[in-house]
Amino acid sequence: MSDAIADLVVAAKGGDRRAFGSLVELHWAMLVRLARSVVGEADAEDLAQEALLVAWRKLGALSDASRFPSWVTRIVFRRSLRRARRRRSEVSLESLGNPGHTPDTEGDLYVWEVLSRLAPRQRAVLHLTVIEGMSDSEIGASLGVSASSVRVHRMRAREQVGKLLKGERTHVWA
Amino acid sequence: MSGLDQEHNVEQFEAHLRRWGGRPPSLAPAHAASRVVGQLPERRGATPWLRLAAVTAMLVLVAVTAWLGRPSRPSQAAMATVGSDQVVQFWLDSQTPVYFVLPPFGGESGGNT
Repeated sequence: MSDAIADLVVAAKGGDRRAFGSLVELHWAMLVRLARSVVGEADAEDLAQEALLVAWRKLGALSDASRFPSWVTRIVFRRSLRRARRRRSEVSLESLGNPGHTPDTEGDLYVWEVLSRLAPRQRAVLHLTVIEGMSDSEIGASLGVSASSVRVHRMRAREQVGKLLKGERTHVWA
Repeated sequence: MSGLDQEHNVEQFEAHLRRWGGRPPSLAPAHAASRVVGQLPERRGATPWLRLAAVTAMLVLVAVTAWLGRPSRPSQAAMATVGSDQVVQFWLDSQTPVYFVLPPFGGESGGNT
């Protein structure tokens, strides 16, 4: 699989749009999921699309083609981080009514409410750990931080989630 | 609330997160790919700064080649100095004179040099 990706990257670097399209197809879902956990439902797909256009422009700078997945994840993460910081003031409760997704349960609603109260980097670490099942070093490579920093972010994220869920919201998970 | 309860809450949150965050995007990957590919700008062979660097290097190379290949100007050391009527003195450098002894005018051809 990674060889196939590397071949596609090499072809795309040479200007092969179809090869780049295949790379988009392979990574789209993963990139949108990450963006959704960092910036919320409304902006996730637009953001992933923008990031992929940036990736196309910068592809020449990627020296090791096999690192494309973590490289493109990092582009999405950085853009998500910027977007999340810009929208920090609006992000918390306003985003509960995310267009494009109707929460299936009350639990869905509170997932984003809790997530949006974490620091964007903590959201990303929690997402890549819980949803993508990545190792600390894989997460570190994707976010551009060390594995030990990943562990610290995850620990703080879990502490914060525990604090947020104290008391009145515990019924939501029941 | 005990630490165990808190841990339980976090675990439950992560289970919900897995369900919420693991949903597929509304735009299918194939559609996303064709949409992204449709927006791709033309790829240029090299970045502008790389092209600029290449042009600069080429100009430098041309200038250096022209400088090294220029016809040498006679230096002061190589200028001829006529000592007497029949002796011409050249300086190869500041310490190396070369003398040419010319045959007298009107004398036999092929005189000593």
